[in-house]
Amino acid sequence: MPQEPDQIVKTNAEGVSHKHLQGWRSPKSIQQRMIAMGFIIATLLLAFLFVMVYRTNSSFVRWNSLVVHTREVLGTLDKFSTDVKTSQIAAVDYYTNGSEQQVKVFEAAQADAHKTIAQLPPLISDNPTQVRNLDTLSPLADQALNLLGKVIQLHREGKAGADGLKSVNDEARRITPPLIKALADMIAEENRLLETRTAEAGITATKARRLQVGGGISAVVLLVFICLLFLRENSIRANVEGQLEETNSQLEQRVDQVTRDVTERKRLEEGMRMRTAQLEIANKELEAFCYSVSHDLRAPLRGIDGFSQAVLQDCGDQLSSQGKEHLKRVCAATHRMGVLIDDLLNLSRITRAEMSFQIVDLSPMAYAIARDLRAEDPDRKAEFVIAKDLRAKGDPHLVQVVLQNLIGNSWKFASKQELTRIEIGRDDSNGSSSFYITDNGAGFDPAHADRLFGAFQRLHSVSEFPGTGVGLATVQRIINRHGGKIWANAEVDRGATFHFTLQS
Amino acid sequence: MTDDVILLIEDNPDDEDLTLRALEQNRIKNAVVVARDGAEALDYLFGTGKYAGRDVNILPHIVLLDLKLPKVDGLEVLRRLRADPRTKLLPVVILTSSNEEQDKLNGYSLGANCYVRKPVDFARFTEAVKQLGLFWLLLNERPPVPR
Repeated sequence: MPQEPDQIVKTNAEGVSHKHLQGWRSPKSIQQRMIAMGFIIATLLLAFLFVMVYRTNSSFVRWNSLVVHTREVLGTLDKFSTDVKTSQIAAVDYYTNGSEQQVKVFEAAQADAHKTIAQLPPLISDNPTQVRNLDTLSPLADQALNLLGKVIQLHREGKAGADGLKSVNDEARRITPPLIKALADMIAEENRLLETRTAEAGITATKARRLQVGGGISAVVLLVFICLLFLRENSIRANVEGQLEETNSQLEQRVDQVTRDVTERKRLEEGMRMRTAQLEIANKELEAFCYSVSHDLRAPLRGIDGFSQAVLQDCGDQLSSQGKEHLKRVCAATHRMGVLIDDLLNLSRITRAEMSFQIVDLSPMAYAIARDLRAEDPDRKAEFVIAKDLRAKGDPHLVQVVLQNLIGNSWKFASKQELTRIEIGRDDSNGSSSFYITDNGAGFDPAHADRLFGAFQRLHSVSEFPGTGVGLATVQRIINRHGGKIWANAEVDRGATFHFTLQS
Repeated sequence: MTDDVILLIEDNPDDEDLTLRALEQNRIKNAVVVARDGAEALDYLFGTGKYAGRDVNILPHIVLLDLKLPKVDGLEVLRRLRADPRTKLLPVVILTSSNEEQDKLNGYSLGANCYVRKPVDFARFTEAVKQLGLFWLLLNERPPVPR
């Protein structure tokens, strides 16, 4: 079946080994088996035809020789008849005219007739009817010839009178009819045989012709069929070999490609190792820098604040109220700087922290954060709607930081509402799943949404809502590190909704 | 009462003054010995260098240890204290600006008794010093002196 090699080639395209591929030749295909069978049948048919034609031909030859034989018998009989007639005519002529010449003719014809009839027995020995007929004919012929001889003798002896002739004539009348009948019987029998044998020979000849033509045609048809099968098999084979070659060259190309890929990969890996090492160094430097920031930047701040306080405490009564106010401003600025430094450090720490991914349930985290926020301000009217089973894969600590920042923001920006309403849930619309935190707070102008996640970027003044502007930058870093996305929708005084995903 | 010395290991003179001021404001009257780097602190504790001849059996009541110090840093000082049988049990409070996880981990691993971060806000700093004084100087029982 042509499909068979096709299938093998197809499976090979999916990565069957080389060795397997070459093995497709060993089991004979049905096509090949058909060709072999065709050859065997054609050979048998030709052999059969040869035997049949041979037999028919020999039969034809046999019938033909029988026809020839019959003709010979007929010819002999004809000659005998002629000889007898010739001798009769000669005898009668001599008797009438007395020409000696006729005696010689008669004698020669008589001898010929004897000789001719003597040839018949071996010719007709195979046919009992003719043997019987000849047995009848032979004595009658002898008698007739003798009678003619007697006529000549009577003439020589001068007794050729009517009396002499009477007995001869009587004798002749007696002999002639049976003689003619016997001869006619023999000729009729031979003619019958000739007819039968000629017909048989004709039938055999027709049969032989039909056999030759029919056999020849079927042999040609068979050979053409085999030839077609051969051509087809060959084209399939050529096709398969072509495919095989193609597959082989593809394989070679793939091997080349893989080799190149491996080399390339090694190069990339080497590059990556170097970059990783550089990154590690950079990270170490960053850590050292952060350590320095946390330690060294805070110390002077503490000094500024501490000594401002000392001035206020020790020499407060010598200062004007404006002077005291200025010193208080110094302290407030210092505190703010302290908070900024801490937030900055947190941001940097979150960027560097190692992550451990696991299934996290955001719902209990959100409940705990909400509880803490309420505890800070028990008199505030607030309503939290938190969906259950908000599960996602992420780093628990970092996810906690995200929720703290986002819920904390909502709490902060809704502080001026009579009733704070914060909802935390999952949005499965638009074919993807995201978490959202929505509030009824101050919102923001969507035109500035692009500045929302930048470090130290704020859309509200500190006097309106406190903060350093690091919270959302931190949140975005965390979401980025999880491979997720964060975006926000809001309108001024109509609340804000933050959406985020943790893993794409 | 020489027994009640507070050893303050602090290189920043501002922080030193502010700490002393906070102690004073909280009426903590103990004598304060200030070491301005790690080496000086070790000299004091082990009676070497500048403090050669000091009776090393007299240990401070409490050590306030900054981590970032010149010469020998805070963690190294702590390691040496804990390695010496005489100072092995000495109460050490790490008082630092650092909020780094690694510093906390190393500090506690090396045997610090507590870790306090210095607030920027002086009022809160004073409060922290007050709480430390109350706890370590009054409430807490000192470990027995090793013999």
